[in-house]
Amino acid sequence: MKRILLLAAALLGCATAFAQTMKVVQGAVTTLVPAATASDILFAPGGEQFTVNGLTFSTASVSEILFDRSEVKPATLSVSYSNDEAAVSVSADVAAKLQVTVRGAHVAVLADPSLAEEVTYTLSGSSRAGSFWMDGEYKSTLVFNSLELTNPDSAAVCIENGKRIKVVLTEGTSNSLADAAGGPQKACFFINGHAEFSGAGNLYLAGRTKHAYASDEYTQLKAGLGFICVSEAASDGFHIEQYFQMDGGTVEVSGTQGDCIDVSVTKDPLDEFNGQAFLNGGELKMYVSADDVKGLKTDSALTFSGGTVYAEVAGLGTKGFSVGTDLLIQQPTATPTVLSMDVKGTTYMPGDPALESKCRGMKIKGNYTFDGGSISMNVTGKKAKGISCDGTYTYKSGSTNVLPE
Amino acid sequence: MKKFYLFFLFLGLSLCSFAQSYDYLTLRTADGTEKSLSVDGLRITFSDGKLLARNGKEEAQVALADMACMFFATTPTAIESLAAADADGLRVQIRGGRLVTNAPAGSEIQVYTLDGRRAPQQGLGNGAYLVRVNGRTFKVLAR
Repeated sequence: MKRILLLAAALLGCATAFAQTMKVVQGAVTTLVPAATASDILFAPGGEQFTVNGLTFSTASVSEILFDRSEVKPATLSVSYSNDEAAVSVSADVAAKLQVTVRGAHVAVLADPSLAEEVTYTLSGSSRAGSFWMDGEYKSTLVFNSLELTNPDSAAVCIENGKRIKVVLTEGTSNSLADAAGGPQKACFFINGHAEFSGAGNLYLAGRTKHAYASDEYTQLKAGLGFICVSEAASDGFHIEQYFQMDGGTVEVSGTQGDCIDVSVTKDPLDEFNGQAFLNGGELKMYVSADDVKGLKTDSALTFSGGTVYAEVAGLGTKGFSVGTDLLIQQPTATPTVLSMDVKGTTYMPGDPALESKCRGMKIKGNYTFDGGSISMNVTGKKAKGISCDGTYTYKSGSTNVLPE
Repeated sequence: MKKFYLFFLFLGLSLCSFAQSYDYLTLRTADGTEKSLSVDGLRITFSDGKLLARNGKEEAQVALADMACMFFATTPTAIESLAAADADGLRVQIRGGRLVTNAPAGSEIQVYTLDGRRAPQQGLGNGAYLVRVNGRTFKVLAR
């Protein structure tokens, strides 16, 4: 079997070695035309233009055409940042439908509404004055491949496309996004649609204007995801609308002035799982240090079915979990459900009838059902409590250890 | 096991279609002149109304107004056109279906169709032919 796989790999390698690519360079944007699919490159009378694969180039705008033996993956656009510049390469099959604008290290891509195939956008390199903005009407994949991007003016990465956006952290890479205070952006990393994170890389986020990460629809963290760290946020670490689902990976949120993770309902009440959160696997660490904020806050229900959650609930009036309706903690599979919290905070604005807020490990506005897993809390804050439930508490299974009792 | 052989047969056939080695880029001018350059390290620029192609070993320069097309090729071609300047003054034409040339007597002359079949030197129908004169190839149109 091993021999067969090696032979297959060798055959594919040979095919790659034969690949020839024509690279049409126009300023910061290079169009990649694979020789294997290239039509005749036809010159218009007078030679002011030439056309290949349906793409027309003005010879006056082409700085050079290069040829090499690299391979072109179809439906791809890659951005390589280097200090104050960005170089964009786009495969010829989608180039006509992607309007690319490059200003310094700020890159904007507008996909034509007629685009009907998924484009993979790969970002790499480093810039302290750069950004990536994209809009379109078809689902897309966004790959972070050793990207270090800071935008002092607005979001570092802003995806206005409202469809499904796969965010892939390339395995073994470290990626970081940051913005600066005083910008107009909702988040340092914003996705207008629904986001699905995967890939065993690392992502570090710092949101200095508002949120570190925000999505206007659901966000899922897939099994096998690497590490996402929010080190600071002027508001929430993650600000997610519709629902949040964590199936894997490690997420660490600290240094937020708002909630670590805020899950809000969308404007459409019919949206699926609106305002809910599902913790099915992975490891979530939250350091809740600002006053009167929450670790994981949901407008609606929270279902914790697997994985490990740790929260240091230290700010005045803070909550580890703040659940808008019902909380279900269970362990339906072999994946352990483990919750531990250090509840250290005291009361926020004590005596103020409108603003007083007490520190709680978990604050549940609806019913609380415990059906498996383990909960341990160390409550040391003055007047703090481990669990506060406004509705009905139902115990079915699992172990709870809240100290002091 | 049979499945594996079928898989490799499929893989092999698939790769054959992709593994064509387009090692050359051929520049063709409006008069039919063709010049092929290896694509390894090839760089093309446009300036002063000219196309300049260089790969470190050879180069070609063509007036943009004369360019008809470029295409990838698996083999090089160096077809000289009748209209192209010929340092030796060698001329080849097809008039009335008959090959006409000022090549010296005793020259080795062969006529081929574009698909490589040998053709006679007279009774040639309309179309393009490759005419080889003493080792030099011309692309000639019979009208």
